[in-house]
Amino acid sequence: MHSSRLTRLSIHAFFVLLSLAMLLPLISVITTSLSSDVEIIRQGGYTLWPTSFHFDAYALIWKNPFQILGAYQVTILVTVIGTAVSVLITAGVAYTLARRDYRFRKGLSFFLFFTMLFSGGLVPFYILVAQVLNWRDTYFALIVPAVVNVWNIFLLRTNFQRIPIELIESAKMDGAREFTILFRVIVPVATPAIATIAVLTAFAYWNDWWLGLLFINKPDMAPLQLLLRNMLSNIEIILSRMRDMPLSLRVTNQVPTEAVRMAMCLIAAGPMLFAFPFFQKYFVKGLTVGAVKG
Amino acid sequence: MRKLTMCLAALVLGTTMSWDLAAQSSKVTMHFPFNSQRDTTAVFAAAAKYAKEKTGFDVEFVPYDGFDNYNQKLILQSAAGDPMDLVWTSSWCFNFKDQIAKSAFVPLDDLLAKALPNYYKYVPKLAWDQLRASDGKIYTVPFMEYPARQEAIWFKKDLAEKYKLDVKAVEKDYRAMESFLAAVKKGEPDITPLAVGSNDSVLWHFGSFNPVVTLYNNSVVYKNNPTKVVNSWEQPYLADGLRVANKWYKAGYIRKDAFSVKDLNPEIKAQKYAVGWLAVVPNAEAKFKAENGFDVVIAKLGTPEIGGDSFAGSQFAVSRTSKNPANALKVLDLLNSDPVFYNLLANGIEGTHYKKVGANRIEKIADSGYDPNLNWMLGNTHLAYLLPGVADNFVAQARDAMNKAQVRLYADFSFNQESIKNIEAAWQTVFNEVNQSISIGLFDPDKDLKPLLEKQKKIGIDKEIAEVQKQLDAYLAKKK
Amino acid sequence: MKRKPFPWELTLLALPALVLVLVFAYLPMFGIVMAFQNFDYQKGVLGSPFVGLSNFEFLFTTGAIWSVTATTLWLNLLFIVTGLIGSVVLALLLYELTGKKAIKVYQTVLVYPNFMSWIIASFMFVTFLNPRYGMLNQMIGALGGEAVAWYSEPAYWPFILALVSLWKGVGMGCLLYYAVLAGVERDYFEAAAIDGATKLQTIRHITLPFLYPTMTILLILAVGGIVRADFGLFYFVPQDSKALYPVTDVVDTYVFRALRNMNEPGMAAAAGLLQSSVGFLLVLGANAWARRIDRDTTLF
Repeated sequence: MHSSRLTRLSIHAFFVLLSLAMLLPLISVITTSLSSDVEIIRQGGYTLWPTSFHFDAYALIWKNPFQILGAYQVTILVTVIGTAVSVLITAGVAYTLARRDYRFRKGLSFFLFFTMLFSGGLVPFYILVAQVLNWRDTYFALIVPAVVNVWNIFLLRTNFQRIPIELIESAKMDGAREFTILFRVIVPVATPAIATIAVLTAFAYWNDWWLGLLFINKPDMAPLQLLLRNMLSNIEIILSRMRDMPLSLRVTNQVPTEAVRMAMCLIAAGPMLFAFPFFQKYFVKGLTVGAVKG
Repeated sequence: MRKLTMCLAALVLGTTMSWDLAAQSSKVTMHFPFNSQRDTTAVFAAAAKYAKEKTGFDVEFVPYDGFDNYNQKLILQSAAGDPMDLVWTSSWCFNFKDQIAKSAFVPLDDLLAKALPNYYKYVPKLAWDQLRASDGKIYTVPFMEYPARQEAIWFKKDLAEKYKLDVKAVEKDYRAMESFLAAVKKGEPDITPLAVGSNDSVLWHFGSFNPVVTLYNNSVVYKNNPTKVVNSWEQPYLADGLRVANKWYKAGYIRKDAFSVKDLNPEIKAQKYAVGWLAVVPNAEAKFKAENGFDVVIAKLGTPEIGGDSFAGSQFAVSRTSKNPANALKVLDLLNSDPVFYNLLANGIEGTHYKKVGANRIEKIADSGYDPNLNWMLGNTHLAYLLPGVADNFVAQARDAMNKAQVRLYADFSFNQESIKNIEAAWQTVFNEVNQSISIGLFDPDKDLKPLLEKQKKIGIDKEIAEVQKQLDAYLAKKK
Repeated sequence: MKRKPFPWELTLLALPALVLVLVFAYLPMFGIVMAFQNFDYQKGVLGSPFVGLSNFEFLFTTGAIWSVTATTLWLNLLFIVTGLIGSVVLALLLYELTGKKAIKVYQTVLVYPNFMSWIIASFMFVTFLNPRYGMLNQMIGALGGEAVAWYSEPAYWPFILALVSLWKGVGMGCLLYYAVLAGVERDYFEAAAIDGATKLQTIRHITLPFLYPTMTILLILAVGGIVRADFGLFYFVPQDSKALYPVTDVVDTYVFRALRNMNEPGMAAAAGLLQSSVGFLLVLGANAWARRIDRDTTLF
């Protein structure tokens, strides 16, 4: 059933306005990245449209492109591999937990859930990954600890639970094994949910700087967000601890201008903006694939 | 069953905490904050080769991208017991006192004369004394730069002339600038008289006029009664200072929205302020102009002093996980007494990254791929080749200024906060509530001071004062 | 009674995830003992002296922890409620539309804030809220109003924070619910229409029930985190402005500020343990409540 034309038009109007409102902050960042700090102050404030174009910030960042290009490579690789592995493993455990006839369902759910609240803290985690597993400066350190996201497991489990048990039962009658049922029966029905998990996971990998901060030290292994974060947090420490620094370090010019910070933000976030519509194909597909026959 | 495996795993992991990973004894690793350069690898390789020839050790340089990154990582690596030899530390990033309190560093007293022969002699005794920890031992090797510390106020030159500012009077008493501030406020609608932001405080800088020396957070002694520890917040000088700041804030000499200003520099460069603060260095006026693009006159406050961060701003320590601390110190000694090695790390390779233009003077080659600005960090900046704008006799000037400067009272007193950690943490939360309003002068001592003192009492501030007094008494008894 | 055979295949499917959780989440948990220790690097976790509850003391001496916890709870509650309503409403509206291109564009725009970190977001909002140079005050000025010192006026901040939190999270939430609806055959709703149900009746009795399981699970998970605040939102977006502490200081920022100048793994562990325990109790409660309403949508 679809709404009347008029209702739909007003919903469109609503979404157009909402989209514009959501985009304002992004536009302001783009504009700021194209202006100069002193100019903003002189002209009396930030604007949505730049009064004049300065590409200095981008020029400055691309003067040393080696690091950013390397970071792109690391981040893309981590995102692609991490997302693939994570979605596969998440689907497996979510399916098991979604089966109401699975004996250890409650226990395992609790086992997983407990880790959402309690953690042992940084030091033991660091010892485990850096010293015991010896994963410093490797892709493993950037990917493996983030493969399991309990939140995603529960989300997918809930979605799998909506699938009528009869589908599974009839597949079983045909002699299908659980693996086959998961990939032949469940996955096609739950494509939109799995695509959502994939998007969430991909964002999480793309945005992760935490694992990088802990375990990556080689400049050519640093993910994109780590570069961005290091730059921004560096500014923070320079501004707040200036009074205690050696005299020769108290040079205000070493703080990147606002334009440079904003440009860096865009460079770090940009590709995801373009990659996202690609994922979306699957949601829209889900509209027509629906296999829940009423 | 699961419990059992967990316990086993915990045991295995637990033992690794004290289990050192095998490291070759002839290798020395050196950890420090850095900003990534295109030619880092080439320069470090050249430096490692040079060090190998001179000392016989393989030196591995381990740079970390940015200060915050370094701080977080090193705290963790140090706590986890990663194998490391030389680690950079300071008062403002990867705090050395914290690390010493957690026994993260090796005491160096017995090694210095043997393994650090040249630099140990080069650094004045008072520097070593000031860095002694509360247990009386030396854990860190300081840097040498321009140790004399003096605060100063800059005034925008054109305005200072226009409104006939009496700089000499300000040097005697900062309140003398009040009429100037009023005149600027009245005559220059586009300009805020005082450059104050949430990271920069009026009071800190006027501290040069205070009649006290701070021993720890809130514990001070009067210069004319230096054996009695008192709570700074109960002292009239502090209330007076707060009152002036509050008056100036109310009069509009400070931005009403200074809270939200984290970085003053863009506005200073846009010439939106008339008065600000800086630290005294040789040619401070010229340096300021080069950075900000306008002329200033400077009023120097108080007298030059040595103490506090004079030597603590940049240091090296030897990690407790070092296989051979003596070897690490030998590398440090080479670094701080051999100009070739030092300048290789600080400025890169001659001809590629810089040109020599005099016996001891260089010019950097633009966009050469190595310009990390880390002179100050390596230790002995007196070895550095001189850059444009630095006086020929910089080292002599620095020594001269140091000799003339007064050593701050109790500069070598080191407080051990171990027994009052809880008070420290509670105080931080109390102080956080007022910190920024004090910074910008919003804090009204006649109204806000009393509640603050009550909160102080509640968290047990008297215990802090008593503990400082106790440790000071012990220190004084030992001195005699 | 006949015992069922051990469900090997299902267990095998779950195994990789369970092993990873065991290794990366459970193994390091021995670190929790640090909350009761005066942790010394040389002595390590096994050798450091135990100090009872003294690591917890700093949380309670000033009494501020209670007001800070109250702020955390009520703001999180505000975010959960606004987020839930916002996402569900948007998902329902989006589901009414047919143009695939348009849906794609809206979704992209709604979701993009989700991959902006809080630091970036804080920069974005400064361009609006900066008292001197921000666009909001420029606009107010142009309309002849009085400029507002946004970062020193606590009154506005619960609203601003809720808005910012919505801006960042609503798109993802909308996507989650939309994905659920997208998995449902449209015939389902058509049938309802033929039965003569009005739009609102269809939504209430047919569409929403499809979303209940997801809503319940997300709510339970959110309840577990209700004493934990999104640090970036509360620290970076208000620019760490003291004037706003009465409404923006939450447990996480409070602890961060207390320990910022000290390096005390023990005290940090103590604060974390306390938050975890409170969250744990709340979730047990929420889960029991969910079980009473619908046996199938509980978490465990």
